[in-house]
Amino acid sequence: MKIKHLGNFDLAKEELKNNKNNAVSYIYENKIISNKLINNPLLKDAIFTIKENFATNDSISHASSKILENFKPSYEATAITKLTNNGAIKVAKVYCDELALGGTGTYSAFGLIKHENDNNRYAGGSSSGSVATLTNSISFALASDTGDSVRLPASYWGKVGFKPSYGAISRYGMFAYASSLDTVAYFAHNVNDVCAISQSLYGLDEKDFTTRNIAINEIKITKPKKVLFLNLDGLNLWVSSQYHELAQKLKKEKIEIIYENIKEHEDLLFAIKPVYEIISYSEASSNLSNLNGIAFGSTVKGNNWAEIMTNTRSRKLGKMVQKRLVLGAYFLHEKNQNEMFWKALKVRRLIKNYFNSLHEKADLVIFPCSANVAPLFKDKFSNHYMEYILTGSNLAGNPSLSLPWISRNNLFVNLSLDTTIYKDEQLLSYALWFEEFLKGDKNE
Amino acid sequence: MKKPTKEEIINIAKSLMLEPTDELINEILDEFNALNKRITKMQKIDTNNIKPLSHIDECDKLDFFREDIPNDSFAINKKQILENAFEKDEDYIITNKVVK
Repeated sequence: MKIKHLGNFDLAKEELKNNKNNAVSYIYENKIISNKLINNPLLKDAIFTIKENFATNDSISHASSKILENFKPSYEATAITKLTNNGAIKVAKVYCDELALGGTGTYSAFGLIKHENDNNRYAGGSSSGSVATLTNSISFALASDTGDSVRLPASYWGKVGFKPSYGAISRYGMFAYASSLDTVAYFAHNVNDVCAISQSLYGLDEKDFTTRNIAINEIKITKPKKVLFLNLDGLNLWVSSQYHELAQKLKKEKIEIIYENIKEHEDLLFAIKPVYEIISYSEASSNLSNLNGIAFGSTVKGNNWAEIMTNTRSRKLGKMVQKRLVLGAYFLHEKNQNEMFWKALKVRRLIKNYFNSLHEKADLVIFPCSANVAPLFKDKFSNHYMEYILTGSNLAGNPSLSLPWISRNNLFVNLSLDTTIYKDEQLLSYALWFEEFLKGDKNE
Repeated sequence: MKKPTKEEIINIAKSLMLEPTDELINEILDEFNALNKRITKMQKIDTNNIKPLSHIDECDKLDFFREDIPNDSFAINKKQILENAFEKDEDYIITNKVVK
């Protein structure tokens, strides 16, 4: 499949230069065409941005953290190489929550990123700069999704966001946050383009041993026969009524709708957040121990090596990152390991099994990406599972696509379309149908 | 679960080479209360006979019969390493004396 929405390099550059939302970290002045362009490239002339947590060998890659403010990798992330070899043109690198930890757009060390359509609201993160700059001048945004870092902001902004199955795309050169959850992911303007990007990126890479071959080449628009709905609570009334209305409309299309009563497994949905917190903070505390102030990145002087490390890490890592690292080490502490870290890994298996059982009941599971539109900065979080339901697919590893659905006052809520792990080809085939169906619905 | 003591959190921060400032430690202890509610609820889930899930792909790869072929194609060289070091000479990264 070939990409359709190409964007425009010069217009994109102009917009990015004028960006006042702390979203842009580096702009490529000139178009760089890969000298290893493949035959019949799928992404020819598509203009894209790169989330700051990917290594580029042509500019500083700091992942929006002061601790890497001078880090110049000598290597390039496999994902970027594959995109450019497929004809895509990079136009900018964009800020994210520091080291891709966070999830709000408020944690970049280089300033707050807000929702453009309402400045009192969260942009969503950690891929905040990616979503905030994805105008019509840009074709797509390369990013990462560890908890819901692409799919939730995609929902807040009414863009398409896709997290492939774990292992589908090489993570080489994407800075590790939580290795068992980190996934290369992306935003685009339509499902066709997500398919073209996926076909360019999927595949084994000897530089990432967790990659595996996952079928992706036979995507074709397919009407699902059976769709699973969840009887979620906590949805805003407007979202809830639209969700039920959608089920009725699909029934008219002769699609079998199953309503899954999730009540008796609600404890697993509520466990998504603590399981994610324990696993991701623990993995981060190990992964980020390489930021030591000596080998690479920033250095704050001290009288001995221990002082250099402590001074550097304390002054150059943001408070949110420091807190997560300490908590992660606390979960891993010998004294707490069994009841926290290992317990979380066991509950992760139960969550994965439960999600698998849902996926197996139908061609597709669909549910709103969030209870309502992007929250206001002053809103308090309720800890209801609807705030982090998308993270379930990171724990289970399955593919998950955030598809534009409903809007109110120029703010959006997307639908999440999910299938069993490694059925990415089928998910995208159904998503093509859903996109058309929802378009028709809006034109009625 | 028992709330960690201030002392425990200070020791963990130090072991991670982070300055245990009052601000950092107090914020962590504050956050722990909310976190602990969620964790306590999670801990009530029955996980008897459930194995921990540490990797999504649990299929063992049978590749131990493969030839050992060295691959240096993505190794970084001395020049690249030194380029990213704060203090260096022609051959080494320089830091304060470790053994005194």
